[in-house]
Amino acid sequence: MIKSTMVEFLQDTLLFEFDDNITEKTDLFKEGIIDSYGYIQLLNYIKSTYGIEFTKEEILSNVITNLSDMVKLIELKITISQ
Amino acid sequence: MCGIAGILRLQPRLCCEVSLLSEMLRLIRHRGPDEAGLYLSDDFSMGTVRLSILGGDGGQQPICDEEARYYLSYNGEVYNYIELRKELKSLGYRFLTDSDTEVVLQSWRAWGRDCLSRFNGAFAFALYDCQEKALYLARDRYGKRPLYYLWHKGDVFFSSEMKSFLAIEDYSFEFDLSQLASILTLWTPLTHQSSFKGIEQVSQGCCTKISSEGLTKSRYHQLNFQSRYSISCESEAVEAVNDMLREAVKLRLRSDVEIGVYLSGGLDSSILSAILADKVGQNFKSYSVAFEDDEFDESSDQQTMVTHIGSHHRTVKISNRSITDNFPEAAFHAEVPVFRTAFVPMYLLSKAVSDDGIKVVLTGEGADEVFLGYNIFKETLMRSKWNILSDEEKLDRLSQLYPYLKHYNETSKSDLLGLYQQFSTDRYPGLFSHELRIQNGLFSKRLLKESAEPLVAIQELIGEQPNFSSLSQIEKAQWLEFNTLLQGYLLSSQGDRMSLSHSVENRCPYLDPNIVELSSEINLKFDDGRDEKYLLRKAFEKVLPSKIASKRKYPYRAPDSKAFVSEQPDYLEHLLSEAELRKMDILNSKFCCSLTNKIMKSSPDKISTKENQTFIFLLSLCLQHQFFVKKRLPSDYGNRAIDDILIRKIDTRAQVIGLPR
Repeated sequence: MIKSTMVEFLQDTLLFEFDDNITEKTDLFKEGIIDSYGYIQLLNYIKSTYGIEFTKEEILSNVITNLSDMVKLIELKITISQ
Repeated sequence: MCGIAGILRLQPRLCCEVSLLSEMLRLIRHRGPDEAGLYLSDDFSMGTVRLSILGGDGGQQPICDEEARYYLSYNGEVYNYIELRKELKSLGYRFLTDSDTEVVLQSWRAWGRDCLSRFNGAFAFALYDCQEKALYLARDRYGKRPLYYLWHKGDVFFSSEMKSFLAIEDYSFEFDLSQLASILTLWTPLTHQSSFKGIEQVSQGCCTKISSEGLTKSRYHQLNFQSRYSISCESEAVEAVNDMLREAVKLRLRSDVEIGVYLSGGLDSSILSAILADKVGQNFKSYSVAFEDDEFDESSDQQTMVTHIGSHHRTVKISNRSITDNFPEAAFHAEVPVFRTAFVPMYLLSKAVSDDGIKVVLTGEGADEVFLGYNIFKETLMRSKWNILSDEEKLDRLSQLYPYLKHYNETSKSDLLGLYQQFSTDRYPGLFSHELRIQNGLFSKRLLKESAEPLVAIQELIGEQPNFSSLSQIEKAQWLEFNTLLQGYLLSSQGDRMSLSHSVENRCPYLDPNIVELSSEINLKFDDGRDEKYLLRKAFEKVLPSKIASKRKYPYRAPDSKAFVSEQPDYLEHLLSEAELRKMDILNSKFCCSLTNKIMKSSPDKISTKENQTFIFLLSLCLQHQFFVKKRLPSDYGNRAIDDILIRKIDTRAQVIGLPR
């Protein structure tokens, strides 16, 4: 569920589609899909959709660059909060 | 200021050079509406359309030396021509005119290609050596004046603007995907790029020799940050900046015609206006653009300066409508893809200047590159120290970056820490300072169907710079600005091309080579770079209103996609319909349609900078496809033939003077 929601958000907001070339492991920064504005949009979306906050340490260490890591981090934060 | 064009025939053929050359010149007549001249020989022909500024009748072109060995068509000004003429006279060279054109010719005779490094000016020229049967094409250090050349069916065509090549009946413009990948990623063409296959530009600071033996390029200037100046304290630096900028302005006031100034309301153009007022009193004209949209408007600061200097001031008010109405013709003049609409107001401003009968304006271009005015320099300083700054120091510095970008203001600073953490190490060799910009550019590159490698060309250019790896991160950032945004957009698409579209010459005192060299000695020597243009500000704070002297950098911008969303110009649907986009085989039509849909259906405040830029890139590409690839010129474009201004024709063709070939 989280994954499909994030896929939909990323594709609609950043105007691309996951396929054989852009997979859930692809670094979306390196591919030129996320820029500074997209990164901020992404963080705001995760915060508002899942009601979670990131600590400064998490922001600096868990840099969200690919779908797989994003989903793992969101699931972890939700589990901790529960 | 002029436009030049010509043809070097390396393949023997029968052709009608006069009509072809005249048509090439007609297409750039806006660069020089006062006079035209032709030189015709059996292998080579060229011509000039002249905007008469210096030397009166003595400046007529093309010119040749006494022995008729060298012929010169010349565009621009060498501001130190009086000093050079004196030196040449002492060496025994004789002069028939007072023009700088003759000084360029005699300098070539005296010093050959070495003359180029003696010139302090903005120029591009074609010089033909009849003895050597070789054509030399040269440009100034920083790329202020353009010069393109095209190899076509074994012959060489050159011109100040690519639109001249529309005159060649059997030549078809074709976009070059690898150049476009570089252009979209770096925001602008590199110094040699044109965006079209087969067309190159003579690089800034270079001279290209073309003959039947082939082509050789030589570089006479490289931005290497070495300086002959030695400045030991801040007050000495401040005095040197003041003296040198005043001297640079003085040199650029050499003209037979009245000179005006562009006044943006920022620090750089305000300083020029104050110096001009000091030199010529209140009897000069200043020009500004103002915007109906407050987000972009600097009228209040402009008015403060006008009151201060007492100039005769004229403002051109820019609306969304004026941007969309004039975007197509301005994009035709720009000739290469553009990422902003800010060049359109400059197109309209030069029209107002021309309507007032003014042929020359001083402009502030170069000050930010020379004296570290842009936020990209602050950002580079911050990122290069990222791993040694405390979080508090990082947050403090982040708060000073890009205050005019909404998403920077509305975002928690700790989120920005996460963003910049991504860019704290070198990803692309040599491009550390510009990695965030490249990140935006990679999005624009998605407009293209095929994925060409976008950074090969810039890394090749870096490889040609002997000491690049030993430069500091800030010097590398400056070097990249000089080689991308400055020459590829500010001096060209937004500068020379917009001014000359209405026959106005722009002069840039901050790009005097002496000032650039001085800045290499003093930048960051007496300050930490966080107070941008600290020494320049100090040097002129006493002659400016305090509001202006303390004003922070406010980049000149104009409404981008929101102007098109609000005005919905007729041409938009025609250009950006799915059917039309599919016809352009270079484009990824699916991505282009998604982007266009998002832009047209979203609130402008939901559109990011990169989406804005990419949309403007797309629109300019589509228009230039119409103008150049399909050869459908803008409906308003109507340069007249040059017959009525043709005052010189030098014809040495064998058939004309009755000799066998």
